[in-house]
Amino acid sequence: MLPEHTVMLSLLLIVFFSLIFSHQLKGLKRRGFVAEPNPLLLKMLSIMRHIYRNNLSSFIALARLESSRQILSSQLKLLAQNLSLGRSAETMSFNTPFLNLSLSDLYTRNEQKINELLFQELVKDLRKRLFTSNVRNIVTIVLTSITMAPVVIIISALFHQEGVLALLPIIASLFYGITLQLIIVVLKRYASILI
Amino acid sequence: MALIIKAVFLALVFASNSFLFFFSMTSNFLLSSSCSLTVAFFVYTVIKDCIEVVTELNNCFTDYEAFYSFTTKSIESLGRQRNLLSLLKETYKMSHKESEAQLKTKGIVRDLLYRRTSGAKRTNPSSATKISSPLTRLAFSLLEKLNLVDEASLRNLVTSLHDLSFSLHLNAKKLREFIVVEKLKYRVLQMASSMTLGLVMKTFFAFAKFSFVNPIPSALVFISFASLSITIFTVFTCIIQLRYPSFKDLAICFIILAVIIFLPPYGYV
Repeated sequence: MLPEHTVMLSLLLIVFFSLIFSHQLKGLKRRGFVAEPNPLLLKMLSIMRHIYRNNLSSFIALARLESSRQILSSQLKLLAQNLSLGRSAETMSFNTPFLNLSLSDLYTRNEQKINELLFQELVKDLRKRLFTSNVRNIVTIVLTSITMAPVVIIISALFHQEGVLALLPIIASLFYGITLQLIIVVLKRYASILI
Repeated sequence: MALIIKAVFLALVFASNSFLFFFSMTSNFLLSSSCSLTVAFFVYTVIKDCIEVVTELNNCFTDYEAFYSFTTKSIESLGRQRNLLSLLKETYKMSHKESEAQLKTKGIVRDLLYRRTSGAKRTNPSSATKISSPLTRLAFSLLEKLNLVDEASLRNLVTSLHDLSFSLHLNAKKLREFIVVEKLKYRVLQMASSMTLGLVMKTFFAFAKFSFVNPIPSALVFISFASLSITIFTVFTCIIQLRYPSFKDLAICFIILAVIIFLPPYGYV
């Protein structure tokens, strides 16, 4: 393969990886950085329920919340619609409208368990999972590859096979693509925590 | 504007590295230039998107701090105030422009008061009061829309919000500490990869003197390849640490690389 061909091929790879990355990042922004089920979302729902029990006008406030692309707002607006069906705080405990909501239903069924899992457990879990399992291993593999690849090429080139040097642009573009995928993985993990 | 300048700067660094790399391989100026320009454009798009997301995530940290500051001040003045509007006014008076979070708190409460009293939105809300975190935005939106809150409900509301903001603040604080630890680990990896590449190039120089027919173009290929891979890795580490890559970060890697290649005891071959 001629060097011109590998340069063109690596260019196409860089363009391809960049487009895929931009598409993934737009998807991440469109979803609004909120992963379901999220303990923080459940905590907010519990607070809303608490406020509703103490103040009947709060469902009006919930219904008037600004519409947003966030999952959080849509779930709460749904909650408000259920609350505003002529029910009072007293009847709520007998005929709860929360059953219509999957997240609220999840909350009522696993209230104790979810409370235990909140915040502190989340941080502990984060410490274990954020970089330890996948990302750090992948980074190590990528770095090892990127430092070992030129060594192999040098040894081949020393045996008067200078054509193998043309493989370097392909290696660089693959490194670029893998790096972008790693960035997406890490940003997704941050985003699911920072809602 | 600053965002665009940073993205352009990094795209230019990428493009110049790519140009050196492609030109050292093909010796075709037109091909190298056109490929480098295309790379520059796509890298610019990618970096701009990354910087936007990183800015948004960093703003989330500030939002949590501002929310926590607001609820703490509300709790402090809860004994003196009996309705939501007077509580907001008191909180606004207590806010000082000491930090970015405090400034944001003051701005958000000012906007909140304006909306509650006049019932209209500000046409041009300042960028300092723009809330990135959906949860914080929702909490302030709730405060804006709530009516007929009696004293007992107000106490419950503020206590609940304070509980939430405290947990969020703690979570964000621990996450920041965690990122700092990771930063050190990746700095070590970055230095190790730079040094390895430098050593590889040195070996190449040493053997090329005896084996290669035309070692200079091949040496250029290696140098350009090393520069490009170091740049990619530096940008990667900076983005996952939620900060912007700076010229200093790039300079540190190139200095390490240069020191390994040129300094004694090996010497320039």
